[in-house]
Amino acid sequence: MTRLRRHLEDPWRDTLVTRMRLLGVRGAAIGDALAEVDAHCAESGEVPEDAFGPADTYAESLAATYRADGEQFDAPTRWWQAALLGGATTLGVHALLDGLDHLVHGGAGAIGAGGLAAALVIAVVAAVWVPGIARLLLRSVSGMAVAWLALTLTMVAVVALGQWATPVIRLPAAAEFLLGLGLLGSVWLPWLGGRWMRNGPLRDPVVDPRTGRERRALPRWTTLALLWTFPIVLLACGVIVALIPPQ
Amino acid sequence: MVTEGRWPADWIRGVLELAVLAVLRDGPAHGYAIARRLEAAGLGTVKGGTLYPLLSRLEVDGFITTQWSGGDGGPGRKQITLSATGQAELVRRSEHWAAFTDVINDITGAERPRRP
Repeated sequence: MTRLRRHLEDPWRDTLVTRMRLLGVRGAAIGDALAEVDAHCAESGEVPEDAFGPADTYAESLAATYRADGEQFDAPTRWWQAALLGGATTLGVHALLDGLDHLVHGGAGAIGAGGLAAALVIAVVAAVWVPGIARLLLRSVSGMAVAWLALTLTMVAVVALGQWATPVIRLPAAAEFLLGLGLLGSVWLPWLGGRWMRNGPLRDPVVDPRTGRERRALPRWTTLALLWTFPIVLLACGVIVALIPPQ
Repeated sequence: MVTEGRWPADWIRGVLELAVLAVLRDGPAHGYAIARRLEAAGLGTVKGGTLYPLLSRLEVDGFITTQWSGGDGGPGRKQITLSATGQAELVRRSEHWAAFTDVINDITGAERPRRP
C-alpha cells in the first residue's frame, strides 16, 4: 500500500474518500482530488483541515462541480441489483457447500429452508443497505458503529438460519454443487451481474494520477473494523451452532 | 471561507473565476501558484477549499486543461493551462466586467482608481 505523506492527515483523508465514494464519485476522480490536496499541502505547509476545510464539506463541493453525465460519476448499484447480488450469493454459497458436502460424504443434496431464508434475509438487507442506509450511516463514527452492529447481527442470523435443514428442493448433489457454482458465477462474473458492482474499491480503485498506483481504498479504521469483525462473528456463530440442538 | 483579506467575501466570490482565468493568461501554473499569484495581486488568500472546486468547474466547462507532471523529489504537480476556449471566455468576461464597473462607478460617483 502507498504510505501516506507525513503532512496528509489520515482521518481527514479517510473522510474525504468515504464521502466521495458515497456521493458516487469514481475512483480516478477521488485519486485526483487526493493528489491535489497532497501537492497543495506539500507546497503551502498547511494541513488539509486548514487549507481545505472539513473533509466532507470539501468532498461535497468538489462533487457538485462534476457534471451529472460526466466521467467523474458512476451510477450506484440499484436496490434490486443489490438484492439479487446478495440473495444469489448467499444461496449460491449454501448450494455450493452443501453440494460439495454430499459429493464427498454421499447422499442426495437439498436446498434447505434455512438456505432460502438466509438468502431472503441477505437480499432484503442488501436492498435496504446499498442504495440508502449506507449513505446515511457512513457519515459519522456512531453511524458506522450502528452499521457494523447491524451487519454483524445479520451475519449471525444468516449462519443460524443455515442450520434449519428442512429440505425444500431435493436434487442430486452434483446438480446442487453446479447450481451453487452457476449462481455465484452469474452474480460475480464481470460481464454478467458483476458489472453492477461498478462503484467500489474492487472494480473502481482510487488511483494516484502521479504514479498510476492504487491508493488505499478503505479508511484504515474501517479496514481494521472489518478484519476483527470476522473472528468475533465466527466465534459467535460457533457458539450458536453448538447451542442449537441437532434436528 | 473564500478568502482572507481586505475585500468582502461575496465580492471575491463573484470575480474569482475571472481572476483565475486572468492569472493563467500569464502562463500555466499549478494550484498553489495560482493562489500565490492572486494573493500577490491583492485579492487576498484564496483557500484550497475554494480554489480547487473552482478549477474543477473551469475544467468541466473547457476553459482550462490540466496535466499531472512529476515533481523534483517532491509530490507531482497538476499543471493548469488556459485553453483557447478559456482565452476567448477571458476576453468576453473582461469586457463585460469593464462595462459593469463603469456602471457601478457611475451609480456611486466613484472614480476609477488610476494605477501608478
